[in-house]
Amino acid sequence: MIMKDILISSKRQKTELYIFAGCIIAAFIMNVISIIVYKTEWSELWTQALWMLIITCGFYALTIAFRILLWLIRHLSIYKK
Amino acid sequence: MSEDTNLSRRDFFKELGMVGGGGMMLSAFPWLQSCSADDKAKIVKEKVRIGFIGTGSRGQFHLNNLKSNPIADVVALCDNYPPHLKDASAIFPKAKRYVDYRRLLEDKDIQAVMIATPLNEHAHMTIESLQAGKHVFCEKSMAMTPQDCLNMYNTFKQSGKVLFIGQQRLYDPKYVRVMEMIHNGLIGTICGIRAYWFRNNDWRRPVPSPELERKINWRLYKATSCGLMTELATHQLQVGNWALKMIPETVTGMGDIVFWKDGREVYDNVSLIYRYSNGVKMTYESIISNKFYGLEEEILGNKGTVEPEKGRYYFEDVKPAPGIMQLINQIEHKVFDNVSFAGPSWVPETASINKGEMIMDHMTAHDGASSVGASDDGTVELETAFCEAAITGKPAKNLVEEAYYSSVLGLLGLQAMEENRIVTFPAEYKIPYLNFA
Repeated sequence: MIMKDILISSKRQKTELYIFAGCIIAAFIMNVISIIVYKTEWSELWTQALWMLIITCGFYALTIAFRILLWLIRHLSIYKK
Repeated sequence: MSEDTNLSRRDFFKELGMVGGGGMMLSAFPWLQSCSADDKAKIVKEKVRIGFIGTGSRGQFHLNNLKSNPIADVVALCDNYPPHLKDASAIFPKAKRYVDYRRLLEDKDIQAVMIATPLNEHAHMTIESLQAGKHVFCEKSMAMTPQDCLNMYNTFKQSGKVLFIGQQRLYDPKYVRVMEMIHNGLIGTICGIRAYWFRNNDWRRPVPSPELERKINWRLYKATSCGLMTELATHQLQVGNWALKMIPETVTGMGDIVFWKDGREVYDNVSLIYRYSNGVKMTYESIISNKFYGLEEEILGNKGTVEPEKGRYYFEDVKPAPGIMQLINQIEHKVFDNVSFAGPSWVPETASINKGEMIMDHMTAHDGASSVGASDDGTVELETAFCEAAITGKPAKNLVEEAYYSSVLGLLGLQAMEENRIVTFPAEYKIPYLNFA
């Protein structure tokens, strides 16, 4: 059996990187807000980096789920037409 | 239960920063300084010749320790119960055997005696030994009455000899460390002390024939014992006084035989309150039909709490959980708390559980279950200090005073329970020490 190459276009790669970067920024802002609201130490900006990474991945997973949902809705509406 | 490893006496002093003349502890723990570095160097090749009186379970515990002590030589053993004497002779086969302690005291070759007999024998044996010119180590508690404790103290003062009482916590590294922390203000002002000792056993030893019941199980009868107050409480009352640098002025409490209704005469369940002149109370509880909480002296300050037996301290102001965790926790609660069918969620609870900090890197903790003795609880250090003091002839400063007050306080607690009233420390039993000076 011959494996089929999956091709990801440079446009798709850029889009995914932009989305992931957006998730990092969102997690960072969330960390900053929580430090301000709960009056904890600013050193948590780097000491909680692991949690930030986990939250970033969580956000990114949410965007994937959201985009799959959009794709499904769009395809279902095309199919109905 | 024992965690972690041995801590040698040298390591103990090293840990305290005392090797090389660290002086901070000098005033706080004078008994630890009874043998100076110069004295230690002088006596390094000497041995103290010891006569040992009372070779039961606790006695054999000491003898086994002394066997590996380079400055101790047990030259005589005494017990009026032959099986115990035989067991002790197996540990020190060359030691002379005596049945009557008076004959042992006549032996001029003996420099020091160690007494591990039932409580009712402590006072007269200690006094006669001191009067015979021997240095004396006597197991705690000192005696069965405050007057006997005072007689022992007065004889000690008049004799010029060394007297040690078996309050090993005075030499237990973790207790010394805890007291250093407390006296340096780590937990702020002490506001209360909660001490307890829980076991779940009947305290009985097997008896080969019925007529030996009161001899073997002497701890259970009023003629020979004051029960929990002299066997357990004295250790912990001393810790309270040590922490507060005070002696309580009043005590009240209640005692009963709740569970072990087997013919014993001493309480198996006691609860007391000791009140110091500054209003601080030390509560004391001992039950020997439930072991869940083990033993501890919880010393409560406005800035923190210490538990010396577990070797932990806890600050009042605990560092909060990271902000991001608090935020997640709050979101989780907002989402799931309103869902009526939702059980515990996956999000970790971030409310801080204060697990405290260890007071030392290397230490041993005990659950207090053994009624013979625990390893690494300060007993070996106490025995060594006694041997050193017996060789140099220099008593350990304040050690007898600490033991005296803990012994008398235990007895006053018993009096309060038996008479069902508040007992004030009698003026005639105050000796010049701490707030009673």
